[in-house]
Amino acid sequence: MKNGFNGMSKDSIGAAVWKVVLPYALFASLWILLSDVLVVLLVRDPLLTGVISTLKGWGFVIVTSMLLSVLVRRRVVKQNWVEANLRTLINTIPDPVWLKDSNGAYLSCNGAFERFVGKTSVQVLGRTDYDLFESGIADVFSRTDGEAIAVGGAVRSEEWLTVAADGSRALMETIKTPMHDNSGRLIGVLGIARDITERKRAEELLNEKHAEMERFIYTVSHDLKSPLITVRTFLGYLEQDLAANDAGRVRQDMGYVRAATDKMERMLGELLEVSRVGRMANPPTILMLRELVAEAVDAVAGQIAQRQVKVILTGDDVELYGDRPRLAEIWQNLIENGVKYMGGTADPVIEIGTHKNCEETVFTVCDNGIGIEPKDREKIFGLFSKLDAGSEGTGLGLALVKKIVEIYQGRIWVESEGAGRGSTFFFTLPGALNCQPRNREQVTAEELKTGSWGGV
Amino acid sequence: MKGEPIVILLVEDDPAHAEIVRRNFENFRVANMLMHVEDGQAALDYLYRKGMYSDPESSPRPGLILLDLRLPRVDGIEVLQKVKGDKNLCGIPVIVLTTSAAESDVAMAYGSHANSYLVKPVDFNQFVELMESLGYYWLAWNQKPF
Repeated sequence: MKNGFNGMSKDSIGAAVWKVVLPYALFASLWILLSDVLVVLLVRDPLLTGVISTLKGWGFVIVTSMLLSVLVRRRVVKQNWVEANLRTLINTIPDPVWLKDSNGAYLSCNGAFERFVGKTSVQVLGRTDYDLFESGIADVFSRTDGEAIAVGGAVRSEEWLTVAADGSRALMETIKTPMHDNSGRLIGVLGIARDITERKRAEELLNEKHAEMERFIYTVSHDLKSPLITVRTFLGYLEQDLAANDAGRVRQDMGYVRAATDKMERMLGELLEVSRVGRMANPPTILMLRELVAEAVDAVAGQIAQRQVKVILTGDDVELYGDRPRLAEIWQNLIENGVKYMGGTADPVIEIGTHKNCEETVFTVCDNGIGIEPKDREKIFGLFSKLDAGSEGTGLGLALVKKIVEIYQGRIWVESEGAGRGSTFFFTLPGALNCQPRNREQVTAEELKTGSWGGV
Repeated sequence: MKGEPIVILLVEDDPAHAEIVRRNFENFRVANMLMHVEDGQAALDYLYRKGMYSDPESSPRPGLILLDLRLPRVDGIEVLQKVKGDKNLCGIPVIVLTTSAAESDVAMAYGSHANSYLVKPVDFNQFVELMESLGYYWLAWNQKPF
């Protein structure tokens, strides 16, 4: 059973006709039978019978006309109600819905479609896609219309379109289905579109996360395998040492095993830390950048003092809103990193600043240490990536910083004029920005620790 | 089988793994010279005789390079590409010796003209066996390029 254009099937049209015809036929038959019997019984005069028969005929026409009008009106009201409901239903659908004839001219569209193209249905009906969209897109639409007709079923496509209301670009998923009337003749192509921009974005983010996860697993499996090989191999050597009664070698080989297991423990601890960043969160609080930086400087005060690094805070103070210990970790790790890669600089300085342009606030941590080669600028944010085999740590600090920055919808990058020329880390934290920057002053690490610059 | 001494450049950042290779090579009867550097930059410095490796007496040209892939400073693949891209160095056989069995690493190494790709076994006996085979093949059976 195929649905026709008006939404009624052949069967339901038949039923509607019978609902009018049957009561009429029943009433007419009863009228003929009963009225003739009544006339024969009541009237004897043949002349009067003739007159009454004529009147009876007129009466029949009047009464059946009234009956028909009642029956038909009832059907029409019911039909109108169904149609109005259907129209409301189509107009209530939040996705644009439209119907075009096989030549591409619009036959019908709903409110969402009107809003999407920014035109009323009067301006739409009878027009084609070439009147509503730019020709490139109209070409695509006319091609997919043709595909739907050729396939004889639903055809799906995705296009970037401009939303008339606000001029924004939206990725629309369109499903087109050829529509036929009761006799199977093609009426046109029915279309429905949905804005999938958000879904697509989420999908891409998911893919990105998936790729990151794969890289993560690769790194972990590779980097954890390394100490495992050491442990297994030196256990083998230990067996040989014991057989040979070589106490000196036993001590030496056990040292290798111990170092390897220490390394594994450190790696696992830091991995746990990275995975915790996303999950475990402290309740967000309002905090000032300067307090946060002071906290971070305090946490690495030992290393700063040891290398005699001067820490300077420049730029505006900024009010932040977020997980305090996590945010502090950003600066802590960056300062630690700066101290670690200071190299042999005579007058080591780490400068912490904020820069606000019209669009965003950029935080900076700048040092005059060994610098970073251009090719390493992406690599340093990876897991366990150390640029120097001799440096302590497992190379996880910057990966951790990147993860925290990303949690606050920010970006992080590094600039350096090359080896030996220092490096500057830049990052944004849109998700943690609460207010406008306040006043401007310079504070040294000493002042930071004593809090003498307070009162901002 | 010839028993000429050969200079081997071992590029390995993990001191324990370097020790394993060193011990295994000590067992070969030929008096090989194992030069150990800890990162990719040092490997390139050695090969190009820069800085502390400028003396050809103490830093002789290697006849074989054992190269780890994940290295600090300059990556193993980068070292490999530099060596194979240099007409003076490309003749030196480069054996990748790494913990990674990832397809992408294997493909990348061979794509960069690695002469061999070996995955460090976790098992002690297998590691010893691998080093023995490596020694026989590359140090004894294999015809040196010069």
